[in-house]
Amino acid sequence: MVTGADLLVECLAREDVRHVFGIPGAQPLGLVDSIGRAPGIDFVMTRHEQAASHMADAWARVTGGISACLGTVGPGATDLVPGVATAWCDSSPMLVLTAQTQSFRAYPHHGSQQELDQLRLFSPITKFSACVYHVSRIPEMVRAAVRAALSGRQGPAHLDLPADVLFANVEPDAAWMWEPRETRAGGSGGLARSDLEEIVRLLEGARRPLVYLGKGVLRAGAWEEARALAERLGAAVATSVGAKGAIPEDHPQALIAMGYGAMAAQADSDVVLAVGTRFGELSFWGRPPLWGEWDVQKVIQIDADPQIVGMNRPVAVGAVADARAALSEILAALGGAPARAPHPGIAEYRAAQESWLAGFESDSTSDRTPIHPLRLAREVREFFPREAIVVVDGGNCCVWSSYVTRVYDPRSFLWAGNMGHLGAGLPFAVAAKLAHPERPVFVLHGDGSFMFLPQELETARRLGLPIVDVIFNDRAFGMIKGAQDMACGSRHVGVDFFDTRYDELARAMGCHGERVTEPDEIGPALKRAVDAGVPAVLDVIVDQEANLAAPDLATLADLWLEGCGG
Amino acid sequence: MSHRFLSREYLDEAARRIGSDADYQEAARGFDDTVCFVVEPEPDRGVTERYVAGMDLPAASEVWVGEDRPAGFTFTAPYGVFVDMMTGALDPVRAMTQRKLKVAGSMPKLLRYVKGTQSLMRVLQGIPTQFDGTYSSRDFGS
Repeated sequence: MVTGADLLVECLAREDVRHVFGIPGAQPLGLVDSIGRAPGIDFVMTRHEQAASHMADAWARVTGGISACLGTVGPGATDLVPGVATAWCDSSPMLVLTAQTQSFRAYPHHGSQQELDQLRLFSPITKFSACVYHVSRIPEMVRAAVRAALSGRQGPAHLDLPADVLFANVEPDAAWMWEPRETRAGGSGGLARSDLEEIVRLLEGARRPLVYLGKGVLRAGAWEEARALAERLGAAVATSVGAKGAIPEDHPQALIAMGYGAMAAQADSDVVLAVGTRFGELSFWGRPPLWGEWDVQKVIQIDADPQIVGMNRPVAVGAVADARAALSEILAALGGAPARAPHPGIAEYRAAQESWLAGFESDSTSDRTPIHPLRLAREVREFFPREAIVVVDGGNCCVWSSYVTRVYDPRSFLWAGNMGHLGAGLPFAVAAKLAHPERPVFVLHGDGSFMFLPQELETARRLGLPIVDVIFNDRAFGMIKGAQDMACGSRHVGVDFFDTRYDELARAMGCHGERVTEPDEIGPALKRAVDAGVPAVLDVIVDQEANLAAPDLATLADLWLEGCGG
Repeated sequence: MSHRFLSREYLDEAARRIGSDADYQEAARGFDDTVCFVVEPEPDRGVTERYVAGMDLPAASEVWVGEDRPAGFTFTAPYGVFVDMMTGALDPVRAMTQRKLKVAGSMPKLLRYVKGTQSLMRVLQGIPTQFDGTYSSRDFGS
């Protein structure tokens, strides 16, 4: 006999789920016990369920695979929500497992402690949410959840697991176990022939093409094809902010996301091949003047989700396809002609980019004390090698880092961009280091964002994951305080902190911790942090006045508060 | 002495200051193009006239008023948007991204010379200026 929990774990293992992130509880006791006994799958205890769901999200972002997070019934489930919502907004797949009270007590509930309608809780932020009412349905439900999570526009899928189902004893062959490949749609998910012909016609006739890459390219593993196609076309290449690394940011045809070079290309190009992007807010909605006029610029949009195509701007060709298959087909259809030279507009775009970047040189090399945040961001990126995984938490450090933090490899930039959830950085880094122990992983935090989940330093220490956390400490929710300066006549409400020693907090959890106050101490402190061989926190005091006035905060505020007067 | 915004006297004073401002000339070096400002009337605010004015930049060796002459860049907005920019209440780049200021011309070139644009605004904001209609409450300088 096996238990329902054993059956579930076997199903997860067949789907190549190697980690379940979470916190045990009474109802999932059997499940955690089964995971502990099973080969090839680990239970990773976190110190808050929110961190567990962020870790499952990050695992998908850096590996392209899928993992799971677990919360017990009630508070465990509700604590998972922020990380699941973040993954939902960024189209990151995961399995969300929640324990539930016994099936004979649930739906409707009638007085159990911690009872909660978790199906309704997760419905708005998952692609699939179902309760497993009988042990025999576990394999079918796992297959359905994984199929939903990994198909089309990817995202979280939820299984609600009544305790009696997990503890039920069944014969090992009580349920049909099939291999995942036997339960998925086949085919490449490529382009329709008529779409392909029109795409090739537009691209071959383009004078100033732009290839614009969104996170869908990373999810589909299509970066090699995207780069080859851009080089074949002599096209400029830009990415959405979330897709940084889809092309090396020092590639001669690449332009920095949201930079003036990218904006110039977006506005100036006659044909745009947009892949795996929805032209969301941080892509300026695909609107003029930061994109071409609707009736002039031809947009080819390829996405796995038909709801995305044409959502925010009209398209000349809209195609529903897997990004990798589609780009391969376009490359093949273009034939073996030699690659075109990069088009002349790229030099103009890069001139705009260089002019923009030149405006940051002074601050990024500033010797002033307190430390200028741009000096800190530059030194951190220059310290770590190209292949480092870059994690950005919330706050103005995101803005500063956008000027100087280059990403050179795909699936190497982690940022909870569309949800903008503070605190995702540390759990993201833990999962990234777990997936790639051979690569350096560093996190840029605001002091506000760091304190959302600082207890995960203990998780990193316990697991032996030497990540480096750099805190831009301005003793405030700096981004909001800066926005209050702009919008509220510098009246500050609810934004200032007591001066907290984050380095001492780190040391209390067995990590390396240092406070840094002088600019010439940044480099040596980074070296000591890495040499420590344990998770490290650098608590860097930055110039609050400078930090509040991040140059493009006004642009972001314009996006966030569009239509709100002023 | 104060000048009426976009009058001939205003443009002449602007050209004099632009041509002699070393910081602006450095920031805009290489721009070498013509610009035209089209200011739309706002009758409900007492601004009944449509203004058109232009010049070559960065030299400002020639200015023209009241003439829809083709230019490398044409900036078009209601009178009040120009008042906001001239008084420093609205950054010209943000005016553009907010679609309050329409721009015809090469966006790559414009984005390359953002510092020059900001420097140009600094020079113009130094000219004592009178505005039309109800915007006269925002006159500045003396």
